[in-house]
Amino acid sequence: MNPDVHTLTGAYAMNALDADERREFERHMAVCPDCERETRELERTAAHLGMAAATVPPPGLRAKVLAEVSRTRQQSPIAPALPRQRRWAVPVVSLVAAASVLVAVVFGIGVLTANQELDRERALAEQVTAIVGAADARTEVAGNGKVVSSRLLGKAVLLASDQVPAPRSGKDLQAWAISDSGVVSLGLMARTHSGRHAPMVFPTTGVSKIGVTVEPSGGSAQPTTTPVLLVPVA
Amino acid sequence: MRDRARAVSQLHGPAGVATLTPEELVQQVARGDEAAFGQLYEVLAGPIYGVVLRVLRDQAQSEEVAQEVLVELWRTATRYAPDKGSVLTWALTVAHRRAVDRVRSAQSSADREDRAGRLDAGRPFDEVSEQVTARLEREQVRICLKALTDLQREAVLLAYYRGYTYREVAELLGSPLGTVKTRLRDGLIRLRDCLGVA
Ligand SMILES: [Zn+2]
Repeated sequence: MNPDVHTLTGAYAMNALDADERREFERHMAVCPDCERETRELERTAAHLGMAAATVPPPGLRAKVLAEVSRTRQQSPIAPALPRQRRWAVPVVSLVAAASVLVAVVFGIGVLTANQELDRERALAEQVTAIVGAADARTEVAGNGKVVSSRLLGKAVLLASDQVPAPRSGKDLQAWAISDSGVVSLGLMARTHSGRHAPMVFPTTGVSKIGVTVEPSGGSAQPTTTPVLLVPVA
Repeated sequence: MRDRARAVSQLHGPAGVATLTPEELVQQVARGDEAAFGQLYEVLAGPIYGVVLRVLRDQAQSEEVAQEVLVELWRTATRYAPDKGSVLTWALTVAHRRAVDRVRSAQSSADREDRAGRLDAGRPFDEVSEQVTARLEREQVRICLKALTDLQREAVLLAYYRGYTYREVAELLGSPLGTVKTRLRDGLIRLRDCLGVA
């Protein structure tokens, strides 16, 4: 996703995006209330351009439409639940699509959650969007882990796929930054409100790899088990 | 928008139909009321057909697409969300999108190249004033379009009335992609402020 994705409101409101960008922007709007608001206003504005083109329809149209209407069933007023997003780990998924899926996952709709938690996930989604959309964003994949990093931003994000099992009770997943000078804890891996591994954003300075280990609840000072994830940082 | 909807319905419809707002009509349509849909048709058919015709430039195809759009509105009236915009905005957004989909679909690609070929000589702003019956709306939009810079206006008109993507607009105008993206946005924002869209 472009870092200047916010400027797409106009193109979106005029249907001037191609299909991929359109979906991309719709996912962005789901996490960006400013873009959503502006887009609604610009759609109303574009509708004026449409109104200015109003013209008398062909005389036969009314009868055709009403005939078709009389044999057309209306949609149920209840929208179906959103289909579950595929995991990012599918190889064909592009970097950008992966980020969007991630944002969608982080934002998993349908589960009520405390506002505070939602705010936190929203803030996280924004950080992730910025990293993945950075001009110099690079991706490394290893096993069930993926790290997208931007040296320009000095930040990276670790994504653990659904294949990484949730820790059993009494255990936590702990992430580690590995550099020449040693191993430093990045903290415990959080879960999103939809029960997935939350992305973890960390500073890239000096970091060559990210590891994740299963540790006793609350975490350890240093890793005590074999990593379930070990991903290089580009 | 609502007042203009009334104005348009009075332009197009039989006398006396415009007693309910489009929003009220849609509520009834959502309960399967075909007579209410007949009234809604009077309000929406002119703008829908007009915008589709403007993009497609072919009467037969435009009638087909307008019919699809109107039936889609009937089908989906059950899920119309007033907070996302007025009925007219909803209808015109759907209509414009369907017209653009049609123009970008494979079967009309040849025609599209033809249109692109003719475009160099085209003067979109003049064409805006063609085929217009919603006089009030037309005048206001016309005045407000003049408030845009040349590049903003050309980009907006090519994207909206020709159904081009911003990439195509950039190609046609020989401007960088980023510039066109920005002009589409700030052009529409200027138009929004001039038209007093809340
Ligand atoms: Zn935004």
